[in-house]
Amino acid sequence: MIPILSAVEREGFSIVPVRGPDGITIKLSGSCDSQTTSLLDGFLSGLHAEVVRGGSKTVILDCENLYFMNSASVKSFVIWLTKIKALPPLERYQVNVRTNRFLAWQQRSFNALGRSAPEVLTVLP
Amino acid sequence: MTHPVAGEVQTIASTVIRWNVRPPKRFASSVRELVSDSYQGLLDTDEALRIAMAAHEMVENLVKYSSDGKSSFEVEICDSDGRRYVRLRSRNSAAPEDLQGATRLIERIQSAADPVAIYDQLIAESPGRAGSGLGLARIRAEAEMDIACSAEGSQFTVVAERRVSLHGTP
Repeated sequence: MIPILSAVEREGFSIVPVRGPDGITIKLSGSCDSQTTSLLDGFLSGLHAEVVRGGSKTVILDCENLYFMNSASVKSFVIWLTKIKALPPLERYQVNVRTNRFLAWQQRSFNALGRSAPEVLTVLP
Repeated sequence: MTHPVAGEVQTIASTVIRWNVRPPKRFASSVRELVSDSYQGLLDTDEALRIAMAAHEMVENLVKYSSDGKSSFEVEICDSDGRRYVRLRSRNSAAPEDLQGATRLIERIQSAADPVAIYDQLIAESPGRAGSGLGLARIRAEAEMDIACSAEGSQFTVVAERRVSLHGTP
């Protein structure tokens, strides 16, 4: 596995990107709140550029260890999904979210994001 | 302000936090953890986490919009007509434009017949819009709490409430 972009970590929150056989996996861990929203914004912006440049068709968001996300982070994801939806269909990529079944909020929050971009985002059980 | 909890109200437990200076951003996380840790023993875990999320969103708004830094946040479990409720209350002074904007948003969110539909609508509107109201809509849709607000001069109060079942009580 080849690391892409740069992993970021601050104040109990980390984003670790990994390229694997199924595409790019982004491991989100900890709590994403107002102290870390700018990190998430910057990362998603760089990720989008990298995926479009590399032509990957799938990004997996691994949220197994993501314990909290505030509404500003929800908005960060909405902005990212809006950018993906704006791509020409052939350049568009899919986002699959792996959730933790013991954290019921993840289903609620990511399903809301999925409803905003059903053609792009799939929430995996 | 119309509270979903009306009539004779008895407080069972309450926590009040007051700030005389603007609290740092991390206070929202500290309050969320306090609420989560304090109420997981009394409530179903997911119910406690929904309320903790709502507390986080409300305190982030306090930190962001308090015009003089002075603010308070209160968590209360109360009994009204034999039913148990959790009530979150935030108070802060706010600039007139922020106060009017927040009042309009809360009225729009609370008056919507379908909390999820208004949440989806605000999500769709949120890119490029500051003060999008996502946190407030999330409180109603994801925490399943009723929200209300009132203003007295520059003092702004937001209340979020939901019915709960306490462990070991009817």
